[in-house]
Amino acid sequence: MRFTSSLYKTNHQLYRALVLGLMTASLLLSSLAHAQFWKQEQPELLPEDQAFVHDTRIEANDLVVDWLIAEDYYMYRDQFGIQSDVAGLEFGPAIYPQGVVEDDPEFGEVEVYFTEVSYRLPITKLPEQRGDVSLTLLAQGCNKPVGVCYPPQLRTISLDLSGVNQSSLNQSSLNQSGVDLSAVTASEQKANNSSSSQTNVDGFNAASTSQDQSFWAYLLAAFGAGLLLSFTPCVLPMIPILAGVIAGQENPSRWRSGWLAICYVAGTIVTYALAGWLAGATGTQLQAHFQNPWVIGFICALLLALAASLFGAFKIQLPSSIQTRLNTSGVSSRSASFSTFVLGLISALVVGACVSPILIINLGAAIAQGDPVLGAGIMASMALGMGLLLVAFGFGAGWLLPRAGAWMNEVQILFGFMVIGVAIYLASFINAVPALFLWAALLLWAGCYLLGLAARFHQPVMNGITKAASIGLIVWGCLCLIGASTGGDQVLKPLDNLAKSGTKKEKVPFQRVTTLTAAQALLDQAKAQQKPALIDFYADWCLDCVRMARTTFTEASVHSALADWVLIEVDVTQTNDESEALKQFFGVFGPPATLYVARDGQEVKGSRQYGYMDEQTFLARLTRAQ
Amino acid sequence: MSNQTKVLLSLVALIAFGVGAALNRGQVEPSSDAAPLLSAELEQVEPGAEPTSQVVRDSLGKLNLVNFWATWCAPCRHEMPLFETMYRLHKDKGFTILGIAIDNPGRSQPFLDSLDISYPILYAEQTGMTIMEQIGNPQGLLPYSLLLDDDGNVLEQKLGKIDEEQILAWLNQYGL
Repeated sequence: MRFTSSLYKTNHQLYRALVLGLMTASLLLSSLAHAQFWKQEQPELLPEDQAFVHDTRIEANDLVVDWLIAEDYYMYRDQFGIQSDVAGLEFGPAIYPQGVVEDDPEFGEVEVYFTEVSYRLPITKLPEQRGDVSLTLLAQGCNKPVGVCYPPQLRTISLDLSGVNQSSLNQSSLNQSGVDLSAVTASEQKANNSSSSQTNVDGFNAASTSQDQSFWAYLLAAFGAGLLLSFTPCVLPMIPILAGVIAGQENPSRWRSGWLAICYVAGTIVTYALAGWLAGATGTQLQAHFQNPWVIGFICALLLALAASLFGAFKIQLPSSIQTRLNTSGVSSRSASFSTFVLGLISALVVGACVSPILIINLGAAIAQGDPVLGAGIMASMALGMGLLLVAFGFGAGWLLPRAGAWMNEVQILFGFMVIGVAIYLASFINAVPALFLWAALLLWAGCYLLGLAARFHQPVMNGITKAASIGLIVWGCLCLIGASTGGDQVLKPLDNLAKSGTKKEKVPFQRVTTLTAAQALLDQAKAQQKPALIDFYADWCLDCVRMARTTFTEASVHSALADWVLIEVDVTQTNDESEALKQFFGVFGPPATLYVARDGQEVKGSRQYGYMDEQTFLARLTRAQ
Repeated sequence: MSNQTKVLLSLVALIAFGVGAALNRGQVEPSSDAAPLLSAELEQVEPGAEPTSQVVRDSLGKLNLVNFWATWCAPCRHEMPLFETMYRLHKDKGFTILGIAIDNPGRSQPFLDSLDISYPILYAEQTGMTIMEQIGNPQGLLPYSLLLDDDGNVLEQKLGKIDEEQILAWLNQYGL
């Protein structure tokens, strides 16, 4: 118990700091999305170095030039070239892949490339001095839909020729040894080598290599993101659940508890992978749709059952009929592993479904790629990153928990209370649930239980500590009861509404819209009145949206700060053409998202915010946006 | 927050900032001052004559469409026959079209001849890029056109192809 609470405390500080950092990062990242969608009247064009990205490497004594071409952009084959001032370095005629043939009214048929192109320049002569050399790539391309062309590109590249094998020049050999690849990372080199045999057959390797690279890069990034997410409220509620499962075991060894944690994490990975697969296949954040009262209710029931089993009401295991049929020694342990896996499967749906900036960016990548496999990979990799903390906790818990006996029963019951706490926390997102009453009941119950426990301790120190804890819980419970009966709803600040009596807690007066036309009408109105506008993407199934609607947007300070603003709540609870059009227009992946629009009708650059914001953060953002 | 996390976060923020800033830079600026264009002294090549030097300001008529183009720019080439037609129809009323080639005469002349272009073409292979950069097209994208009044004030500017309706609308709006 003490271990867990201290873990909470340090984690709380950690994740606050992290969330702050993530918010800063997301603020900056949001300018990414910004460029694409908002200003519709003027075509948005990429800078040339993003429209056409080059990469070069030496492979089998050929210079291989890769161009990654942004969507809607294309490049001309006959404009590719290379300039070399290096004495003695010569290239043979370039080998190009087949491009798309376009009929040009003036110049006849021209070959162009979309998406990517990789061509080879055979090195026919090497200079005496074989070290780093500097060359210039020539290329030229255009944007198709807008119909504009970029000026001829001159890209300076540097090559390390020291590894090129003089004797094998002019031969298309498969020999890779001794070839030093400059300006290429180790992982790329590996990917290139693996595809080199195919490369040399047709002299062209565009698709497979670079897709492999970006696939693994995505997975790695997602894994890192998952690690960061470990310290956010996405993962923390999972710890009491897992602790409850482990404590529910009879005499768990370190390996056993670690194994259970792995089973649990495996469950979450499966759920996330499925959500990612669906996101890639359908282009929506399906996971968010599971956050409805039915699913939350189901998971709460499951958690209550877990708590009941911790209280000793029953043991979680397979029905006895199945057990007798599989009457081997391993059955009960296997059934526990399986139920833990299922628990992970299900609890990932709700507990982990917080839309923090990183999750949005990850899913956004999967959606943008429209690739179910990539989507599943990204999300599974992220879940794996998130799960590492849980697995570590699992092993740690096996180490720290008391071995067996009467003590273990008490610990189980304490974890039972914590699991109920998680259930109430989840249930509180459903409007109809009187969460504070439930908290009061739980706190009073736990307090009374501790009081009874204290009586059994004969050692004065333990007795005192337990008594103090129990009295603390009882007082807190009473405060919650008072708060609840006067209409409060926050367990951490039960009397908040009493302290601010007189100011009734109401959400700031948002105008709710569900169509793009309505949203645009309000924006036009705001512009006409020379007022700034706040656009809040909201959905009933989005837990952080509901939380923000109840906390941040009810604060008196927020009320007064927003007095002059036109407040638009874009409700995307229903997924349909309209909600898609809204998301598309504003370039928002999903709720919660907050957009600030200046008096001139333009979105304030770089101000967009994804995810939950508390009162202070929101006010700071608001001031900055003005 | 550990040092590693700090470094990681600052890296993420830095990269994101770089990408964001790069994406948001280089759009066509809304207002533009055409002074660098007007004062530019560019080369004009008449077939069979020595190249002459021409200041853009001196080539202005009542309403002027200044079109930056190049042979390597397919959309530019596609709109030039229309320009030629519009020029022939409206030049008597004072409508001038000035083509500024971001190209060299050797490559351009055969193409111009094939289209029978009669409106004046000035050559500005490198200076043209600098001029565009100064007057509101920092990326040097083509085609890029400006509509100037007789004093050289910028009335309109357009990145990308211009169609017939657009030219007719401008002629109408600016009283030709």
